[in-house]
Amino acid sequence: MKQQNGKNYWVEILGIFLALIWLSPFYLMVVNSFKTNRDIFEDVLGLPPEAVFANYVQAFHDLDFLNALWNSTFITVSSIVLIIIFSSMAGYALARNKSKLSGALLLIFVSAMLIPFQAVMITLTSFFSSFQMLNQYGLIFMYLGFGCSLAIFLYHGAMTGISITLDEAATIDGASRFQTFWYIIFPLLKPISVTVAILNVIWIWNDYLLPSLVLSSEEATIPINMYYFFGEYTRQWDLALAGLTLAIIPIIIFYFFAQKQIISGVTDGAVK
Amino acid sequence: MAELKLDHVYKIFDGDVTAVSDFNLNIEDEEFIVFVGPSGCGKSTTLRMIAGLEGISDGDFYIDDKRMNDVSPKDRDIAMVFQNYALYPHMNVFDNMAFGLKLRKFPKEDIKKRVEEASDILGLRDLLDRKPKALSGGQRQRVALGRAIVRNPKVFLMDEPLSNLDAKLRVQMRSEIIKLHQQLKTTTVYVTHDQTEAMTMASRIVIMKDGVIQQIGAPREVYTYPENVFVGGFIGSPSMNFLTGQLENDLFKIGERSLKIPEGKLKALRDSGYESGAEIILGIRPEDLHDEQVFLDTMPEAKADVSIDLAELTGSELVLYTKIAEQNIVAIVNPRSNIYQGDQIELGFDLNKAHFFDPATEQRIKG
Repeated sequence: MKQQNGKNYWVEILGIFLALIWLSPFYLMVVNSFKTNRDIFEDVLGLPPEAVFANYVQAFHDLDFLNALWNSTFITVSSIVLIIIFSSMAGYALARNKSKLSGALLLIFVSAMLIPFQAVMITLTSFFSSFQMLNQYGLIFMYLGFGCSLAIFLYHGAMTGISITLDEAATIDGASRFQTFWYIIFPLLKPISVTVAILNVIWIWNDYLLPSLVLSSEEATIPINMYYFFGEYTRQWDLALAGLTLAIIPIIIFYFFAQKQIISGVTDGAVK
Repeated sequence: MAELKLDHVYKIFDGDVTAVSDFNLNIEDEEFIVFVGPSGCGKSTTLRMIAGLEGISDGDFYIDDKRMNDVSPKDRDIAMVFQNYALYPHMNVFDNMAFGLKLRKFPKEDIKKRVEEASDILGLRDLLDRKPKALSGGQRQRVALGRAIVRNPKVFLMDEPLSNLDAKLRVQMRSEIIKLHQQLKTTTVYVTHDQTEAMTMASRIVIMKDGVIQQIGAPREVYTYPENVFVGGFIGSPSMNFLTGQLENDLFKIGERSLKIPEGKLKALRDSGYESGAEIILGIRPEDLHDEQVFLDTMPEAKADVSIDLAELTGSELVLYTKIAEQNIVAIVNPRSNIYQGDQIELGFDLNKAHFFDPATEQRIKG
């Protein structure tokens, strides 16, 4: 028993140590964003002698933050909403209509996960360019294409755990196929929807390569503007770190809400 | 309130698997019909065809003289209770019961009134805010019933609704469903594999095997006059005893033993063309075998010496297991009889209540 407690003690210490390692970049970023450039180089680990909020004002302005935030939010939210709606519908349809065709379609969707984005990058952009689609809407469409493979796979897997008698009960209750999906099945897929949203938010919000190929400068997202920002202020770490802190605030807010959703989503989905 | 008619209905899966064959049944208004049979006999498939969840391969199905083959489930005005309840897990009890009404665009006040009325009938008033996961098995089944009755449909369909409940709760819910039917008088089609449920609940029982109806009749009728060996064996617990033997003059011979066949039964056998030497099957219920001296004295030519292999006292009855000419026999006798395993006793056969079956067709010989 004593040995067991001792073991837990060490595991706890290791956990705290790992947590500190993970948190250290955030600490450095936030603390140094309130310092002048000179203070950063004098004491990179210490707290700021006096908080310098001017970094944030400057970074906010230079980053064209509101515009970039709007662009990033619009692209991310639209893509996620479309991925969730279309993938859940596709997963539902493929799981409920069992045929050779649905099996083949699922296989094609799953196989698409194996194709790396870089392999189709050039052809995809030139293809979209021929339809005048190198803009935000084209980008959202691309994200839908890239995101739905894994999402359909996840939704299809989750559907096998939802009894078909729920569909039948809804049908008897008078629901159409769409109403059955929307009122009964989709709410039960909430844990998967949250998972799909989290996986895609990280990727789409932080994506640099695809938007850099597709978007004009007016439509630039936060990562793209951060790149220009770094180019301009390579030596001005005070502004760069303030910009980075600003950039991660929206994603932290998202995770704060998503965490609550995950917990309620998982408990709501419990059948029986 | 509705009358149902199934006319030469067939269900054929994948072109070659016949699940239901030539199903003919008229269900009267307010009837409580029970489909009973072993797993895979087609009872649930038939119910699902009535519900519209399965298509009808051939034949016609009518509700109140309106052909329903191509009518969608929601337009058939039916409600169904499923074996696994099929409650919507993310909705509370109120919403589960109200879902069908909301889809049909009932006014909010009307929905509230109907759900509250149904919940009062089923004792669910205090549970309306709860989610299904916070309910016991019996409460969930009540919600499933509530969801069916709020719509006041023409027909209730119930697919083994009590199978997931424990034995005690099953008995309780059984009587609640019977009371509910007496109160609402809605035509009900109930599927079960439990012959006790069928016997206690049904106005008429439909016994099925391999997709074919074996017999339709009131519980007492199918119990007393089984059409064939299958029905005799399926209905009743312990099931009917079947003894294969020979007809010799007015005797039924099983190995060395002979039982005198009553005149009426003998006439029926003769009228059906069974002569001395013909092989026939005797079917007799366990309770029609007697150990009482009075019976043995009254029917001295219809008794046999047997050795008791096992004697089970259930409390209200004593179940005896024995053999005659290597054929198993179960007898139910008075629990006050002092009979134990290994005893040699005389067992009287009340052949007036017995039936004879043709060994080839397994049909009851009616005469």
